[in-house]
Amino acid sequence: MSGTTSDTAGLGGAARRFDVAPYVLLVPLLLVAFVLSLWIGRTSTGPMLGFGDPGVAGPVLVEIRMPRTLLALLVGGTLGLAGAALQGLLRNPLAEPGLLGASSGAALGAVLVFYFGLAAADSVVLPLGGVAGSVAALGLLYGLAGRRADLVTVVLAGIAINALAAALTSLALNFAPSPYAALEILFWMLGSLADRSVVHVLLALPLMLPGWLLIGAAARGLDALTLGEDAAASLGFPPARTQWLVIGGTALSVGAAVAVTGVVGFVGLVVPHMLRPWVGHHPRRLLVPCFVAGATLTLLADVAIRMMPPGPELKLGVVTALIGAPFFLQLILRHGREGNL
Amino acid sequence: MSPRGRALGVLAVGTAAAAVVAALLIGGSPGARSSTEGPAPERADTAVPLHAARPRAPAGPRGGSSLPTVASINLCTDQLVLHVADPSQIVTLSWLAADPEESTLAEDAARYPLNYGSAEEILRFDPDVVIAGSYTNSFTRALLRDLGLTVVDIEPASSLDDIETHVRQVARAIGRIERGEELVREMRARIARHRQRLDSSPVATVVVRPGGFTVEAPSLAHELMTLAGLRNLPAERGLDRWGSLSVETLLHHPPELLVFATYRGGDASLANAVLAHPAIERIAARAVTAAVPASMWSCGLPNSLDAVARLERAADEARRARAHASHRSASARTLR
Amino acid sequence: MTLKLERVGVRYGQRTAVVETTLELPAGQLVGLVGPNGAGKSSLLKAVAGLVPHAGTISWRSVPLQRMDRLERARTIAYLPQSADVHWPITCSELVALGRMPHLKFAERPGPRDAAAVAWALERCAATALADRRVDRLSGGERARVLLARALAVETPVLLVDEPIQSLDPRHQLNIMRVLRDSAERGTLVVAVLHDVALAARYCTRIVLLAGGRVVGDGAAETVLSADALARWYGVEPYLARHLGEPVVLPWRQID
Repeated sequence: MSGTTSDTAGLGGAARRFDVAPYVLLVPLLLVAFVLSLWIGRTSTGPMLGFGDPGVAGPVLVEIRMPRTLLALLVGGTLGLAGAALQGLLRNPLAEPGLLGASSGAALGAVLVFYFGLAAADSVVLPLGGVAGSVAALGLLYGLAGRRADLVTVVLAGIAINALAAALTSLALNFAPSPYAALEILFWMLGSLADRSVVHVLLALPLMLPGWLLIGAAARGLDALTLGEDAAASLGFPPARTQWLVIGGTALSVGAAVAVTGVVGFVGLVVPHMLRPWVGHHPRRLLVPCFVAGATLTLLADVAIRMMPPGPELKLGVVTALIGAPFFLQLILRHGREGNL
Repeated sequence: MSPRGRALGVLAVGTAAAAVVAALLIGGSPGARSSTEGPAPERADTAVPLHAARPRAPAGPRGGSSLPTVASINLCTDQLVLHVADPSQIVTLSWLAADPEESTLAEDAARYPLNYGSAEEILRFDPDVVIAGSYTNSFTRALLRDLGLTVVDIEPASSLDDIETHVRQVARAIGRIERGEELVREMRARIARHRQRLDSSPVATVVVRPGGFTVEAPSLAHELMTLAGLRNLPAERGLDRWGSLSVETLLHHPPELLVFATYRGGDASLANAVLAHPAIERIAARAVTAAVPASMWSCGLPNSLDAVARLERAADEARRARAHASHRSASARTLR
Repeated sequence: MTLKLERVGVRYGQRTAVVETTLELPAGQLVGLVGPNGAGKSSLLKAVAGLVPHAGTISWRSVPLQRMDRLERARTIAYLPQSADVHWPITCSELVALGRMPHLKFAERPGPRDAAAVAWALERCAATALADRRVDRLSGGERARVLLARALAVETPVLLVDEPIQSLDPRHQLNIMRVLRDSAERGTLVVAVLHDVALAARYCTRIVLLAGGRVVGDGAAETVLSADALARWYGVEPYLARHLGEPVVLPWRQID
């Protein structure tokens, strides 16, 4: 399992040695996924390996595939990181940004900003709208679930917020300028990386980066919360501080991510679970590996989309839901059987 | 801290709600969309392309043929292009254009390579001009512009004048100005002929679309109806945008003519199931009914006038029924 | 080295849990905070631990706790809460290692010093054999020992424990009390909130009796936990005796 031993001399050494181990597998996997994402494209006749005609190879690589690949990495990494952080904060393994309303809040914010003329598709106001929506949703969650958040309260609060965001989004759709605009919104919300350009990477990154840093600052506090809130406070990590850092970091990073790609769910839920048997249960140790694994998962899902037979491109959010929902069901079943996760 | 947290949560909700209301108030007016301007020959690029992808000549002739090559990535613009362009110019059309349920020119369209609307595909076709709808995926259009391609956005048509404007827009973009003028002349002639036939007693009509929608005014379909000598009953009642049909209103004010805008009638769908509403069937039993495929009049095209011809025939039938009914009631009165 | 509480009071909204209390607790003692339900024992302890806001000043070696930064305070005062929460199924040695967190900087990895502290803490609590076992698979008594080891691993001069022996069987109760007493004898100031007057009487070097938020008794067990005091504050008649040189205080009968 976790590799730490009670051998007094070995505790320090084992800890150091162990921290490298997950990366030995995760980083090469990420690199492979990265290269695949650059290498595989999609044309009218289906998937394409390589870049085809040398005349367009440059723009295809630099303008089309590279931004898409980078964005998959950044967004997937953000979702994995935020999922690990939220599971650590709420001390339960069913938490993820989507379940708690951060994603649907961000989508609502972006939709309002985009479709009501407050921003164009390549304006900086768009990710800000996403962040605003995410902050509102998570603030509401915090207010509803309170500090002594047990599993049921948190999940119920998340369901309520998701429902509210969905209702408000439908309301916004109702007032959209035309049925075509409404359709465009609906498709956007399904989540996609298609035809994003480097502009979107540059829009999202300045908000994601501080978000990641805030989550990183909460890392030790998350470990301390293993013992409960009072003990964590007595160890020098007041839970309120940890909470605000995680919520703020998630709102920023997930808000920006959703604002450029739409809602991509389940990555944040699945990835920490996949890594816990390896990396252990300490929330802090899971953060960076979950970033890497989230990025890898998203890249591979996006590559899988491009490998489909010819036709309109499947939406990324649909693919991650197809992977994630059965996984989630299986988690719940196991919880029911064993009584713990 | 916890009460403070709750207060913050309430504040967050309040802010979000206020933002939604403000956004609805601002955005409720149609002019609020910043990204589309009125019809223009070529959309002005607000963003400078990030990289000059490769040296491109401005939209113009390429070696070999003297006309620019054109790609279309939107169902309506596909059909516009098929009308306006010379076959040698067309490099690709969207896959919807070849679907007979969607497109009036499906057979023609099927002769060309089809695309699924992604930037990488279009780039590989290497067109001089790309014609898109103004609601086609905005990421795709933006990326195509960043790649240095010329993209022309065509708005959805909301009137017969719009069709003329769009035909000219496309014609100018692809160097077929004369062909565009020819199409406009033909359209005007047909419209004039239809207008001549109009009499003073238009037929009270309700159009039923899948999902229980009807034709709102102003819109292209409404103008086509008017041109065919039909009175659009729901529009007279002042419908909201998108036009949902109130079946109850139909029962109170039954129309003389019921037109079904058919779409994928063979497939089971909730939208089509709505049309089987018993009240509608009842009205249909009493009125004259007609079917006009949705594909005929959902895009603003020169051949949208074909729909007018169909509507006219239906109107004629309705007038005959009207005359027959009044004749019967007159003779019933004289009998007494 | 003394923990000084000067006019420390705790209020929850309108309700006063602890009336302004002044106490001086020198190091090297096992202080039992006892009293009937609702007397304010846990509130007072939490105030010292910095978990609830309070009036007055608490200082250690004349330095007010409020002036210390949070990690420095964590290295001064360790707190073992009543609830035995452990949210993740980690091993016992990992759990005890969490106690070293106040000593580590941001990205610092635990070193040999930390490993030694963990091992020592486990040994003090007779839990060395449990080191590699998962916390969620332990019995109640084993878990209590491991959690106490976590608190000891912080190596603080002051250790606060809130009802550490509830729901433990007699053997484990004696065991935990023994560990606390040993820590006190090695120089730590241990303050324990206890319900069990019998064990408090035997093991604590000093008893502070709270009732209604006030200190109503402070001193040696026999003095504070007299028959009168128990009758007055607990409403019970005790059986008092001595056995093998130690006081026996057993609540025997309810007084109406």
